[in-house]
Amino acid sequence: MGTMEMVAAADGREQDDILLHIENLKVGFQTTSGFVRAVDGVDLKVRRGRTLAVVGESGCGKSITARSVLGLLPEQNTVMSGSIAFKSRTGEVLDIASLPRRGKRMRSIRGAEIAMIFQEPMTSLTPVFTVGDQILEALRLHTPVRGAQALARAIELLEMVGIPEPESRLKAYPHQMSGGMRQRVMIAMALASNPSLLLADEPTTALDVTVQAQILDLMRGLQDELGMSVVFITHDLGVVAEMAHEVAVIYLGQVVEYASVDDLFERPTHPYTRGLLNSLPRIGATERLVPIAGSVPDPREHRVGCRFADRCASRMAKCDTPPPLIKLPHGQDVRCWLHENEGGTQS
Amino acid sequence: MTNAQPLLDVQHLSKSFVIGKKLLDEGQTLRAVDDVSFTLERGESLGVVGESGCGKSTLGRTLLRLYEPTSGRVVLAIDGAASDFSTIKGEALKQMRRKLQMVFQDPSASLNPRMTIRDILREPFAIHRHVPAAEIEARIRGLMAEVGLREDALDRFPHSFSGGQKQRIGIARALALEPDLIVLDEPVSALDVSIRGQVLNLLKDLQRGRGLSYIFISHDLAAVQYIADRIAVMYLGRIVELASAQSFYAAPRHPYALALLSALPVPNPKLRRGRQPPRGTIPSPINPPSGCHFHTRCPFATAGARLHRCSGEVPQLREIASKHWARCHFAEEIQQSSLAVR
Amino acid sequence: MSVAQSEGDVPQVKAPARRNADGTYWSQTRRRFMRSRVGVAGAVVVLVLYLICLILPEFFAPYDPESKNAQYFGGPPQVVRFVDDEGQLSIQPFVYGVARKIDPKTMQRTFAEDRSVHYPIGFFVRGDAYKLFGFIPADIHLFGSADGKGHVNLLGTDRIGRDVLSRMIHGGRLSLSMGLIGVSISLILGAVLGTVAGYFGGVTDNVVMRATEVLMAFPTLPLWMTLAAAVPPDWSPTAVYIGITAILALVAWGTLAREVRGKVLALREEEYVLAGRVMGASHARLIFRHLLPGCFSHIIVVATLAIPSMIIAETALGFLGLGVKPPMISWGVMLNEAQNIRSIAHTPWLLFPAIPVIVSILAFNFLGDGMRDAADPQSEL
Repeated sequence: MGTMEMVAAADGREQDDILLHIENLKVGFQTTSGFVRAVDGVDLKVRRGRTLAVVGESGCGKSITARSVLGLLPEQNTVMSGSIAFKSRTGEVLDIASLPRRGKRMRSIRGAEIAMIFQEPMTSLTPVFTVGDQILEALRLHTPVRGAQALARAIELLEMVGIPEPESRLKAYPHQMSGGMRQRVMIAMALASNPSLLLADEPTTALDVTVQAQILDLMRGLQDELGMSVVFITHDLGVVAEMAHEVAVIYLGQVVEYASVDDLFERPTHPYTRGLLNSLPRIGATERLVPIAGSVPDPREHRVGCRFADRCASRMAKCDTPPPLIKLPHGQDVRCWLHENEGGTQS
Repeated sequence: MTNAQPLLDVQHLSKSFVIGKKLLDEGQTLRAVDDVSFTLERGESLGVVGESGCGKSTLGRTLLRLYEPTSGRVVLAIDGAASDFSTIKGEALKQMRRKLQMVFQDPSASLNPRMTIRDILREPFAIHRHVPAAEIEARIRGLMAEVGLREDALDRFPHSFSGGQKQRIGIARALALEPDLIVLDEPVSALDVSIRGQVLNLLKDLQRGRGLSYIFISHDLAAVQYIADRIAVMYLGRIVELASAQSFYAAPRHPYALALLSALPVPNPKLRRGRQPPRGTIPSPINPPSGCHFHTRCPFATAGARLHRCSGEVPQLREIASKHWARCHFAEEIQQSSLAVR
Repeated sequence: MSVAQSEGDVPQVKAPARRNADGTYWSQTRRRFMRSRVGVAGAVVVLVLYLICLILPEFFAPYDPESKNAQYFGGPPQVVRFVDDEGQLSIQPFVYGVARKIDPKTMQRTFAEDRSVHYPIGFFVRGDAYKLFGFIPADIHLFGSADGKGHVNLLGTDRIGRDVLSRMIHGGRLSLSMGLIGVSISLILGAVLGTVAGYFGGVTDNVVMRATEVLMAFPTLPLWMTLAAAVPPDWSPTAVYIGITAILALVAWGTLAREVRGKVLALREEEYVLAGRVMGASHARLIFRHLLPGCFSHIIVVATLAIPSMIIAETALGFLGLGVKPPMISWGVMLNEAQNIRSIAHTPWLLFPAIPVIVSILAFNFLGDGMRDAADPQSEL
């Protein structure tokens, strides 16, 4: 087999393997104080059974990206373009971005094939219904299971997410549970329809450290067991290291670095990624932190050139031209002129 | 310094709240801070760590008399004279407040949105009049420079600043009274990752430059390690471990502290490990478990006589190693040195 | 000792435009308010009403409220016309004269248009003399009979020939000012007691709150009636006016106090207030520098929304004959005259004062809603 064929075969396998492919996604909001380019040309690939961590600071567009996959963005004053290709269970590839948001097809995907969990489970659970009611409702909406079978499935789901005494917990109301338990219920509901993709938007940020560890363990275990793909949105690089296979670092609506988790932590390449890692205090390390200068700018400000330039220590004249995402030979993508000459292909 | 009086000597401090008290309802007692004692030397910083509901924020606020302590003493040694801060009143309290300041968690909420930065920084001078009026403006400008902000920011309102900048303003306000001790209540938790490091560095520099003492309250063990000389771990109102940072991070002696450290996600995929997070969640502080509060989740309080002791007998804060206290019946058995690898 | 921060996030020369960076709190609030069309409409209507009724009623009303037209009592509204019977267009509007007829059988008086007589309507005409702002003698009215010979009663006349429109405009002075003054009094009471209760808490809070509960437990109408009945009948009209206003205010402060207390309770735990306490700020400083300014927008909104109920209360009392009494004029007093079936059947135009009551109440509610949205910084986006 020649090299060319091998590459082609690998490409084919990779194509097969890709569950969700976001291409050149742009989302903008018209607000009273100006137009915000919240997401500005994001490309992401989620492979089967893998976890893609999307990491960035507040306002970088990471949550908006996830929400656009589910068609959960407000319809008013929102402009969206690009494609979101999702391989559905039937094997066909759908462009979610072009599906009518309230259409039947979208509903059959949202919550069924793609599920989502949020930061604060209390606001995503209805306070007036019991946990059991809400899980049964999820089952009714997305699966053909009914009656006693549905009840058994609900108990099974609660067991799966590690809730003790699931039969009695079915009758509990969300406010009677702790934050960690509520997040487990949210996960159980998300899993009700056996989704192939789970979007997790800062699912452990509101939780205590020990509870966070439990939930992360749970999510990893469930992924191994069910083989689903996960998009894990977070600002916490520690959580990224714990959870991810691949990582996309986002800054002001653009992917600035895209790498496997080992590459990212071993060879952080973009100045922003390096800056983030250097800003983190670590246990056992005593040397002075070297944080990034300045603060996260307002996304409404229009910028020409590299968006990170005015906080970057390695800024040069070329940074006034927007850098492309450069593919480095060892499989890392980075949006920075510093690596222009190492680049294989430019996209 | 060791034979001199410590700057702060907290003795058996407790703070209880009565929850749900109505006209005909007695309500329940929540012991948010339960018999806490520690000392703090001048220039030293104590990190207080724990999860939600452990009482760390209440401790900070009770120390500053934002809450009146239920019992106990807070002895402050200022200018060579010691006095009990927890009972003084009126003008004496006001004067003493100068020495104890606070930086809050939410930088947006801690600045009055209707005042300019100049007015906000002028307020401490207006309250205490410790600086001649003619010098105030120069002092304000000095404070701005000290926290790394430009003077032209003075006439703007808080909302036009980023979180990190607002937190710097909050720090400048605390410094205006030239305090000896600053209680930092989760000062970086609300900030973006890239900003946290800046504020932590600033706090460190200020401490060195001004000889400040800090009580650094946080749930983030890594941030605490960066600032603190000593660590106090709290669980359901009690200090369960108190040690120098070095000794603590090298070998924590309380099972809860151990659990906290092992639960902390580490930004290094090579160190992904099979962890054992503690079972269950933090019990309600209104009705904490008997004996050792942690026994319901503790991997060491397994069964039989051991569980009997842990659930029946409140452990004392004992000195396990030199200057290393832990509140556990079996602290001697807990050895964890693998943590040092990180 | 200055710590030079190489990595300090020094603001850039170009001030970074954070969320709503430009302008102060108030200018932002104003901008948000201007975006609420209903609120702005409410504000315009309220301002126009107050201009007409409170500031310049003598000018806007064509007649003195007490001047009687002996020829035209109980007369229906006259219609403004531009085209006469012969189809002739006149630039100047006019009304037809009226002819009185008496039904020989029932002895009932009726009025019919006398199409042979034109009474042209003029603007800025001389009419009944009055004192502008109470001291500048004047006799110019916005409109009236151009030549002074005819009469223009656009909303008809009452049983003794007084112009309903003029009385309505003058009546508004009392009805609207009572709402304003009453709310101001209850606002001061409510704000002081609410702040004290919320700030000091404990026993003080309990006493104030139980008092408001007792107050609010009374059904309002009987309470007003009892209190109003207690106003001595021999009081001068002005004294009665003040008395009734005070009664309305005393009944209404409870709601305001509760609102203010709730807001103060929330603000008391704000970190910037705690920061003030840590610095050793006095109670007065905390209340006046931090708490009240924080509640201010809220208080204004609550007060605006309380004015309509004051206007209603005044109207209701006047209607029942328990409020201010003639010769004072208010919308309630005017409606009191339209109480019986006979007058509604024969002179339905006496019910016209109900219209400004409805309009002003709606306008205040729209204004208050608009202000509430504007005062809430969360309502952005």
